[in-house]
Amino acid sequence: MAGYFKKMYHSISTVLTGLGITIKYGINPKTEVTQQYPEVKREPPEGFRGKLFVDINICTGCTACARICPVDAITLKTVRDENKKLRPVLFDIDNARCIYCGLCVEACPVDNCLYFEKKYEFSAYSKEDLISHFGLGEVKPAESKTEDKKTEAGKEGKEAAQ
Amino acid sequence: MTELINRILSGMSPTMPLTRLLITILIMVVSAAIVLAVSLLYEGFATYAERKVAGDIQARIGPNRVGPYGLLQFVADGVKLLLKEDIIPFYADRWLFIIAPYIVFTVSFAAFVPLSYSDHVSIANLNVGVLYMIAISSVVSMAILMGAWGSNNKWSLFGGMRAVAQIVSYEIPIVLSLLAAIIIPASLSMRDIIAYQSGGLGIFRWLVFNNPFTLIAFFVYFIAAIAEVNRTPFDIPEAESEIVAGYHTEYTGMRFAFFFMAEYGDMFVVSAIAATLFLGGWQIPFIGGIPMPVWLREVLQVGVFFTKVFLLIYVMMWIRWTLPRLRVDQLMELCWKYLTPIALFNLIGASVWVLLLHDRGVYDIIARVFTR
Repeated sequence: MAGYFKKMYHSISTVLTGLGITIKYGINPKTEVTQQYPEVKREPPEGFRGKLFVDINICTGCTACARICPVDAITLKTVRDENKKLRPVLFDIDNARCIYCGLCVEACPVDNCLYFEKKYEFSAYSKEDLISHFGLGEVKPAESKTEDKKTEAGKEGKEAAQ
Repeated sequence: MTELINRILSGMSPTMPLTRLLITILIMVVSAAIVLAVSLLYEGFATYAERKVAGDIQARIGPNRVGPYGLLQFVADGVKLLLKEDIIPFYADRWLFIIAPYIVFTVSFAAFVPLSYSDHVSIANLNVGVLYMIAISSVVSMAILMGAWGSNNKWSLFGGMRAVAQIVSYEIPIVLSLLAAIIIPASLSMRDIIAYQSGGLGIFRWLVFNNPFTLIAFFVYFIAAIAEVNRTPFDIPEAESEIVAGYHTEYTGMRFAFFFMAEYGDMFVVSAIAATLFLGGWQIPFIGGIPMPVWLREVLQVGVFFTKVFLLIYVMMWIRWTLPRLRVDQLMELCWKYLTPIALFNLIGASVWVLLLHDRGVYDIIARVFTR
């Protein structure tokens, strides 16, 4: 019989303790921790892997990123310009394919050339819209014909490897 | 309601029995429509309030996108449920399956009828009001079992059997604890019970403060009432982690909405019984003795009554978002080993109190000592 009342007391006191805790949150609106996402955006943390960005003007066209990419998301085409420097005329990153592994960023030999932006809202209505174009477009090619041959040979070698 | 009909009919010539009948039916239909509209509106806002209370307690915000402060969320939900496909399982007992949600909803709607919302506002002032409420809310268990059996689904059947076991068990402490309060005003009419609780600043003559036994009876009733309407922590009939959704597993669209609305309607009904029998119903606290125009008094009384009911509903929601679900054996243990014996001894105590002191409560005794 003593156990009966003890049990009753125990259950009532524990229920009241629980109710006391929840009402503190229930009547105090300041306890809300929800961030209203479209209106309030949280700053992404350090090292956040968002959309890939290429600073095309300092790109050396080494194609290290395109070669290391495990999903072939990067399409790169280079041409020697009049100063005999390799310039990327075509630099497309397919964001639909990208798995955000970061291997290309590690492979890039130039500081702050290829890196992740903190941008994460870039959904699109078609797959094609997801491809970001960074290429310089047409570059005035070098006058020397030998250089052209070299690039062509390099291209052919790459195609053969594939 | 009958007063209103009589007043309108007394102004007419008694030579047209057909017109009198038609007008009587018209008034009945209109009043039923008013109650239906009000109860549907209440059920809509109750679902909104439930989600807001849950959000507050869980440090979230809750619905706030549809309309100002998310107030129109229930309209959006209602439209969604209306447009959902109405699925009836192939092996279901069609007749039982179709009729069950209507019975559940009708019963919870019918329980609004004998409630006394203010001194003159009530649909029907039944002289057996409390008995009617208890009787009509028991029909829910039959309709739930109909739906559960008709679904031809093991989870539904388990849920239905659990619901019936629970509702039938918890009827006993409910009735016993209500009796402890009813023996003091010695009436089953909702209006008479509230009228009895006048005086004492509109608070101290409440039956809950009448004597220690009615205080205990109030808490026993409230716990048993939460179980009666299948709410957490007593929601084993629809325990989603065990039996999917219990008796309404197979219901979709509006049929599901009927079950859902009936749950909130039942919450209102049990809270209204608690407010009427224990918390003084529409008695206006503190300023009830001041003379004021009749319309103002009626409006205040309706406001006070609904405030009391909504506070009790808030407590139910608060409990729901605090406590985890009980096991089946714990639920039955709580009913048969704790609530029923307590209610029984409580009823004996209350009867002895009434026998010795008649209907004088603690407040009356203290007031008598001071006025002497």
